[in-house]
Amino acid sequence: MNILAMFKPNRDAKHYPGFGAVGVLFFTFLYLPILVIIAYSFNSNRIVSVWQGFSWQWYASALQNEGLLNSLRVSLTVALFATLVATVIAVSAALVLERGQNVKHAKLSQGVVNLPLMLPEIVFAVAILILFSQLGIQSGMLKLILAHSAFCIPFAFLPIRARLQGMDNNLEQAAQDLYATPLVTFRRITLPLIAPGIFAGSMLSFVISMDDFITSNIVSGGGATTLPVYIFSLVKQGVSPELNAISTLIMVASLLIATPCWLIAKRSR
Amino acid sequence: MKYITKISLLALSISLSTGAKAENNQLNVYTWAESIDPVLIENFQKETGIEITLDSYTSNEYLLAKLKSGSSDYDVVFPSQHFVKIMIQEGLLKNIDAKNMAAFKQVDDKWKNKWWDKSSEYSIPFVYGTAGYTVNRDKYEGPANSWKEFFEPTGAAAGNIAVFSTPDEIIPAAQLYLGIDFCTEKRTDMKKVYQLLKKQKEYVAVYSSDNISSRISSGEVVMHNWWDGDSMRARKNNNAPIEYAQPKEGLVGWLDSMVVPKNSRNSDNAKTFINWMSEKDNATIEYNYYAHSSAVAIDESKAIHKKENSPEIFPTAFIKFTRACSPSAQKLVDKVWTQLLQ
Amino acid sequence: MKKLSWNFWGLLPAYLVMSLLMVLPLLIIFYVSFMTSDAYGGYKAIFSLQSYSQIFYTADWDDNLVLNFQYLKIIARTLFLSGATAVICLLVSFPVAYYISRQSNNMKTFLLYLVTLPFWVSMVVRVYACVLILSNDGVLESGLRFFGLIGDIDSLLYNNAAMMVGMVYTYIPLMILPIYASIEKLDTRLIEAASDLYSCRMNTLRSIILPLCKPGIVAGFILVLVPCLGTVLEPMLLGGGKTMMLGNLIQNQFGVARNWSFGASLTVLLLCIVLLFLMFQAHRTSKLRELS
Repeated sequence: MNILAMFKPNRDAKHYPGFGAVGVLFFTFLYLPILVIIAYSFNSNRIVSVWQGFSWQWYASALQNEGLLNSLRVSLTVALFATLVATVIAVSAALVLERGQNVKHAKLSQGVVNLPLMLPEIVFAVAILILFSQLGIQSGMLKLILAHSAFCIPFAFLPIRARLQGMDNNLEQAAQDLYATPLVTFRRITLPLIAPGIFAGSMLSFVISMDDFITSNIVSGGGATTLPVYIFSLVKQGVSPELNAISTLIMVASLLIATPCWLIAKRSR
Repeated sequence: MKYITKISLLALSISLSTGAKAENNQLNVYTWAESIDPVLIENFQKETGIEITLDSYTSNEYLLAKLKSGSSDYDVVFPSQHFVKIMIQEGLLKNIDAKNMAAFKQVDDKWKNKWWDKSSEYSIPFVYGTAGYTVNRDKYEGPANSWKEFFEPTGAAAGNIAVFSTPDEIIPAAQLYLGIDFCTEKRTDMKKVYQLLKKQKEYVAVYSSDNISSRISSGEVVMHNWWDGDSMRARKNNNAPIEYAQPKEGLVGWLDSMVVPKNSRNSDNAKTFINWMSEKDNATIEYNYYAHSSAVAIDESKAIHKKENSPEIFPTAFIKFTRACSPSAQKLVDKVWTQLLQ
Repeated sequence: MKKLSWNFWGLLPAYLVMSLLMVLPLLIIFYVSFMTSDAYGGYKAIFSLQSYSQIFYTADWDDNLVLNFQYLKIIARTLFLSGATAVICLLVSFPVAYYISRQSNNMKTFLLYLVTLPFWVSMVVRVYACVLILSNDGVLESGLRFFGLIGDIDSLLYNNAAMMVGMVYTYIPLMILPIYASIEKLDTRLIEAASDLYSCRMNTLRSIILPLCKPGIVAGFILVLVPCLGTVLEPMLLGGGKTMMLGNLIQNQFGVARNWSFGASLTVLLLCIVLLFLMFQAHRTSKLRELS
């Protein structure tokens, strides 16, 4: 794609001049801040905005930061449990809604499963805070897992349902015709076929749980500070090189999770 | 598919085991930001095998809100005297029979059985100090011996002052300046407080209780609401060009105690921690680190903050301790603050 | 009968979780909003409309109720900033989505990957990235100064514009994806036909492309608007905590302000606003369906 071509009058009616420029500006806008963080994370100067030289030192100090590692452990634990719960619930709901016959109130049920998507998160956060305080649940970890499980369900549900919609049920029918019990059909036929959907759904809810700030910030208690809440406390204390290193590490981790999901979704399409 | 099952089972068992560990030898400490020497935390963990997780807050109000939300899962917290009283009233604290704890013997007699915990059942007094304001001497040359400079700033200070983000200390300070009683229930008096703060707001750059040290040391603001020991620590450790003001109207006094929230699940560990922190050697290390006056006995020979080099914590100004306000007085305080920050 | 029970057991967990952890808490919020606040947080079970009247009225120092614009201002600001964010997202997203749809298949996949990638990165980190760019002596300020575009200015941070930049930055992928999906579905022969009939590009865009992309645009608009209305992070980090939005106001009532019933009534209000928008969308899509 050469630059000159951009300025040549294009006779194609589907072409809109200027849209490409907006596109280029947009991607710059989207990635410039991220690249700046990455660049600054290697700056050996304690004053972030003045370049001094290349250094790994902030990564070293980030990886030794007790608070960071603790919050990472909390986040991982919560995300694992929440993903597990959300995925199991989402699979069973998706199977009924896509494969079940004579499902009553299918519309309503879909609405119920997707309820968290319709609420601004702060509403859910304060509501669940009051609920927990009424129930007197103590464990910060348990509270986080319960809350995260709830709002992760639609994120697990949507890819799984999309996968089910995308494949016909001939194989399942055939299995049933051959007298396979529903359970065997599910285990041998349906489950392997929707595995990519389950993978994508569970990854998505894992990431949503790892990312969550609003609810975790309000609900969190002793010993249950999640990674985003910890990072937020660092940001509040001001810009620091260690924070840049931590952010870069998180972005690399996100990249490592996102890319396989993307590839799987692409292949299964 | 099998791999996914295996991986998730593995993950599950890992997190279960870490979760199980969390239940036993755990202690969740919730304290003022940067108030406990990391060395002490490390030593405590080594000596007792109890693992500490440390979270921090920057205002009594925030602490109260967390505890009041019912289920914050903290084992030791450090409220100031009037908040100890409120928390006892609201049934948020555990009766730890403080007067029979080893730590209680270390407490200076003048802090025993005070009005906020008359029979010393709930709290072990730990550190005390004052709330006032700090000026940056590179940027501000004027006097700093009255609240007048802070509430009605002129010159370099106007537009460059920073105030705490919660009313707990600033309203008593305004009351000192205006000669009004703390916790007054008189509307007309509180209206005056409101008007003073409203006028001051024009000159306020930011209302914040976070990250004070860098803001005042760098000169981003020239006057900042602050605590005595924190101000001294920044001056001594970082050579910050700052001075803690000694207003003639008086400083706002506070005393933080160690208490155990009602629903703590590790209250035995909490008591161990409280006793340990009050031991003479540890209290001395803490005194040297935190730089606030200690309410428990310390080893004077090892203390680095002496009267001659620490004007901040040996103030010349008179000190008036905040009280627990009646609900109607508290309503007025809240009213001033919400109207101010609208 | 057997089929029915499969359906029942399959949906039961979802219903259980949602009713216990979503619907029940919302009902409690609704209940608390009609109760009296306790002085130190929590609530007393005494019926009162105080928390709703507090949105509009406040008692002055002589105990007269006077109209108070403080909270209305915050609500108006929230609506305005969220709406403006959604509009900006739309103005940027449409050309971008269209541009992407015109690329080769491989390029399309790659560009869509680039659009979704930031979405996988923690929101706190993304907002922090904006703080870093906009901060004093940050990249943007020094860049602009280098080219002589600005003189000495106060700060790019801590104002409404900074908050909006942050919100656009965080939520724009949510706008691009649905619009892209609807552009992809577009029958390009319609555009060619229009051009054959001597319609100019602007006309084609206005009378053919945009109307056909409407479902995507409406969906994207709602997807951006709803989280913006409840946003908490951007005002705290980019707005400097001085200018509040509804989300912060609500959060404060359950934090330092310790006024649960007022917080609950604000939550109910926010919920009503969101429901209005959702109903508008449902109405819109059902009308579109009737047309086609």
